[in-house]
Amino acid sequence: MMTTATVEAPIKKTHLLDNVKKTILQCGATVYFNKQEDAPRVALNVYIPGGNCIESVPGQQEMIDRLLMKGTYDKTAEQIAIALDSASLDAGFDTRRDYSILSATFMPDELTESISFLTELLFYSTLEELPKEVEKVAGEIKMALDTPKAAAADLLTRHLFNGLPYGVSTSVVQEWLDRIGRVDALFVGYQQAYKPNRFVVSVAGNVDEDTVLKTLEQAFQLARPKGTALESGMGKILKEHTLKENRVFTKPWEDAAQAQIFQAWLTPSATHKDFPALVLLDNILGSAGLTSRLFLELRDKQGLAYNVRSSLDGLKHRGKFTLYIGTEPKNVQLCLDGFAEEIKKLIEIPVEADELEAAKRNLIGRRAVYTETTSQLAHWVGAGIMMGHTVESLKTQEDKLKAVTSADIQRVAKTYFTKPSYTTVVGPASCLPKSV
Amino acid sequence: MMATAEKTFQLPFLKEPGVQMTFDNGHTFVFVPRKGQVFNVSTWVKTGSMNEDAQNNGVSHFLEHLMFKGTARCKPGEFDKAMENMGAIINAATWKDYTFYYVTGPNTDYGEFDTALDLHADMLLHSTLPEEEIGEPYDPAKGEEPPVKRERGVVIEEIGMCEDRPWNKIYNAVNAMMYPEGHPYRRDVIGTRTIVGTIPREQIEAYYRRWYSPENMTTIVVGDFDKATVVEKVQKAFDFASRTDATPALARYTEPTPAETFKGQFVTDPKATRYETIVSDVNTQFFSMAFAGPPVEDQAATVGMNIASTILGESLSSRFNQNLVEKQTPSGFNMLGTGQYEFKLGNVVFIQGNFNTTDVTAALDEVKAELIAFLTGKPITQEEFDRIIKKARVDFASGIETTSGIADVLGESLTVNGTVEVFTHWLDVLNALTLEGVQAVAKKYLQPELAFTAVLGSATALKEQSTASKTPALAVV
Repeated sequence: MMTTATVEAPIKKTHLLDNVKKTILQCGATVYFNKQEDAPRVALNVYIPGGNCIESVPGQQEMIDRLLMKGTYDKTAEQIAIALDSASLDAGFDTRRDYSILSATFMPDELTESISFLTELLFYSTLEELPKEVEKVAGEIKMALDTPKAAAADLLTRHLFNGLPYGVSTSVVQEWLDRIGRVDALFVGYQQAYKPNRFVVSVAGNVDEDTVLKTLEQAFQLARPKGTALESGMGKILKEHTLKENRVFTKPWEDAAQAQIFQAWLTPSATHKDFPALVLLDNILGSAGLTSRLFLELRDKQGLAYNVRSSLDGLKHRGKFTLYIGTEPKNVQLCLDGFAEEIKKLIEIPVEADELEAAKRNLIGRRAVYTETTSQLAHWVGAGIMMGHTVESLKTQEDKLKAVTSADIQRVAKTYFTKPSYTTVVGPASCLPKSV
Repeated sequence: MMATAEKTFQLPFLKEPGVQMTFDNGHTFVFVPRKGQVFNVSTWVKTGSMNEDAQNNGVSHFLEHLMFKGTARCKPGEFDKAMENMGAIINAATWKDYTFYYVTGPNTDYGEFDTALDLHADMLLHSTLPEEEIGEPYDPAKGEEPPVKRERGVVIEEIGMCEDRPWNKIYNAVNAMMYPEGHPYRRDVIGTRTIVGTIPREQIEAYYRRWYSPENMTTIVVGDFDKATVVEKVQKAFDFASRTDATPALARYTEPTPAETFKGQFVTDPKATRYETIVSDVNTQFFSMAFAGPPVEDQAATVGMNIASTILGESLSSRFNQNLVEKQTPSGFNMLGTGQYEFKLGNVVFIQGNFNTTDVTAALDEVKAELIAFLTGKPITQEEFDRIIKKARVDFASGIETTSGIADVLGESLTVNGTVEVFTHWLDVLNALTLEGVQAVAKKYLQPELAFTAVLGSATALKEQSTASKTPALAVV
């Protein structure tokens, strides 16, 4: 029997955030700086709080973020594309549930030009391409929903948080697309959200901190005056959201080779006290890789699927815990029973000490692997702050994981998995369940 | 064991040189020192679906799954557990020309690398492919189904997963048209349900013994280690002489493979089928247009084609993106891109896209018209050329930002081209390109009348097309 060196050793603490420095600029932007001496590229991410939570029409924020690459007072969309392809700068916007993000990477010697270019996108966009972008988004949505898996995931998102910002799925945006509004209406939202004092900037790379701070201060201060905070009031509603009963949502897809199954429960936010235990539970059940319980039972032992997993989404106000499997249509009930059995085990049987220890090692060890690039490091800090963390609380994440006990895992399993869940199944009509 | 033919090489953008050596058993080893918290160890085996035939299609990929099912030392699952307990990412992949296995792990001096290397080598050399893990044979095409399916069932589910992806379907349809009968690239890497369900264990083991020889393997380590120590550890771990469980002894497979007789072969008959359609439950139309590309060993043409492809369809400022997607022509293109696959038996260049219109002919005509303009009417400008050459340099640098990124580029160079020079000299080749050279490569290989096109669309779209004129042949003038 083999043995490994690592099993006996204590879990080693990572020090990836030890050098992070926080500065609040005169313009109000908060900057987190993480010096990385050997990194070839600099990552600079700008986080703008809000995301879907500050939308008056579903998809509105995403539309604003798309339009920030589609023309400024000085540059057309084509000129922006040419400028990006001509520089070392790589940049793009994305809209998440709780925030928008401008992610950028560039070579250290192009710092000043890169910040200048990003500033232009952030503050001086015209949004005039709105009608064309609405048309493009309509087509892209149709393409995105053209696979059974995407359709099943969409059903889950829209129903689990029905009518709420976390439920803005692809098909919800599709339904509201013609009500996104006019350019002037969108412009008001853009000006309110994109104010420097609302920004969190996360930088990682081999650049001088003072130069970064001075360049950002100069660029942002002239851009737009400070503004008052944008409160959506959605946090309270999301926190209080519940599911009344187990429900199943289905969609027939006759020529699908597999049935796509998702089952999900509501969970608390990323900063909730139960979150570390849920992270470990998720790792043990279905996100560790080849050693998780779902993988071993439903894939390895029963050969029911190639892809089976669990995932935990910890958002600012709430979260969701999801199980997924893609399987031969006639196996739908077998897989749902398999899900139920594994959930039951977590509720009824305490996790063995060695399984819990392995999960802790896996999570802490792979942090190093997942933060190898400056982009990953910058996002760890920036996204963490958006979720309500501080750098100090991010640093103690490992300690919180280490402190989780088997009883904690069983308690959170009982707390969250005894409540109603929603299930979505997409596949040939003959395989779709009526109830779960 | 001695190392022969040791040579150092300098990788662009990296501080320290790498070293390549061949041990006297034929096993190739490459080490790239790199500071940081992560290591990567990978082994690339020079076999994939190119070494299969109609009877065992899918065996390379099925074997790749079974390599994780235990050795004489490790019970099934123990390797996975040992690696994941340290936070390492483990996986493998099979492609036409190669199969590779890797571990990317944290390097926090608790011996993670030693454990990873030891067990990774053990897996490659001593896998036992247990019958009970493979599962009872069954043919799903005949409605057969065992009570418990095991790994045969897993791979058959993976086939189902691929079938539900429109891009997979049109890729396979294009391959079936563009390669002549018997060409291994015609077949899907993943194989068929019947073969995966019924192939006997003995055939899988024979394939393993035949192709997983030291001459066919390249091991790559990237990480913050001392060279001499790593070389010693790799030699010790990859002790091919210790394969006592390997019966019969491994064949030393050094002669040209049967697949190599197909080198450079594509369907050239002007009357051959060059257009296929697939009806599916979709609301948009997907298409793939494939062209026989340059030979992979012609590096100037290969890199030149990459630049042409980026100008045409692989960048924000590309012709396709700006003129068809961004401008939203009547066809309503949701995406339109290009790319080159570099293959041992000949590169392939693809134009792939998705559009809203049910007028398939009109959409494909728009694509062809833009392509013809690119080749003749509106050739590449100096400004486009300069911009994309710079972009290629930046993309190259960002591709090797991680230990696994470095290993992947090296592994592919060594496996497909047989040399690291493709990687080490890549920037020199790029810098030597001329606008005229790139334009000539595009004109030579992207002739619209030689394209093989597959469309996956709704019944409505494909019915409408059958009553209209089909894909008129547009020649370059």
